[in-house]
Amino acid sequence: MDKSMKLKIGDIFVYLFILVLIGLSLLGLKTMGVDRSNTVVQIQLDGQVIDSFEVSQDGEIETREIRVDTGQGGYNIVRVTSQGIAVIDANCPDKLCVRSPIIKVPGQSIVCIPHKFVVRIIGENQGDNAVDDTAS
Amino acid sequence: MIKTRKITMLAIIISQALVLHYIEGFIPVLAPGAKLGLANIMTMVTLALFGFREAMIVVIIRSVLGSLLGGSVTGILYSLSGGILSGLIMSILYLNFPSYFSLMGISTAGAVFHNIGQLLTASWIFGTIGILYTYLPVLMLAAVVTGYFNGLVTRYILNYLQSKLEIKV
Repeated sequence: MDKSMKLKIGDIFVYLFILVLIGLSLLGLKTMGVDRSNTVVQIQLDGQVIDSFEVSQDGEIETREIRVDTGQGGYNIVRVTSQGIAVIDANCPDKLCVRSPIIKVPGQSIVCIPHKFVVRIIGENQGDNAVDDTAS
Repeated sequence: MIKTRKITMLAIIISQALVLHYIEGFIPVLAPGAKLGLANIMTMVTLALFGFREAMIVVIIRSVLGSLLGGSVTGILYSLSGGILSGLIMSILYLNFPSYFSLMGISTAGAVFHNIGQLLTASWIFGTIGILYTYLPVLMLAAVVTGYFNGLVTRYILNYLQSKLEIKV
């Protein structure tokens, strides 16, 4: 076999480098968790962002309810679950926000016009194609 | 080498790299983002036959034209960042430490840095470094296999050119 077909001493450094990179990545995965696209839930009142928090897209989420006082005795109650986000109660006159379907995909929102209240999901909806598959 | 002959050789190499770049899109791979990186073979052949400048010219033209063939404009960014970084690393290893690294090792290093370049670009575009460490482990394992294979193919091509075309490598 031709001598140039064999691995050389420096190649060991390439493979060591790869092992180090894999180790560091696994460490990163362990400490910071699998990368889920940044999905942020934003609550707006009269155009102002009054609350925003991150939620994971595919993990289990602790169910919680957020009561938002919209001023002059008005309120909307937002429920966050693994299935999505919904407004479960409000004392606005039309109750359209309560009847809105559950939202879960970035870009969707629930609006309560009488209270000038908006819940929306923002963030890039990136799937497995984060690295473009035509790139090489 | 005569200038006309050099231009012709580079044109042939670029077209071969383009074809390899294009057809490997049809070959299924296990992990998302993992590629065979066959076009890398032509980068290394250029590096061995001509040198650094010519190799980078091949990488850049192949990346731009290849992304246009693939149909995605953001692909150019990924392709260029990966290609240029891996081209730089392979040039450094091949030109400065030829007695320490085999072509298989150089090709593997090139594959590793191609992935790093692409993932850094993706992290920058999506604004999260999480992409880097999520995709890196599996891509690194793929790079070991494809890098070795591409290095071996390059070795055979260079041996062939040496014996048949009497090109000094």
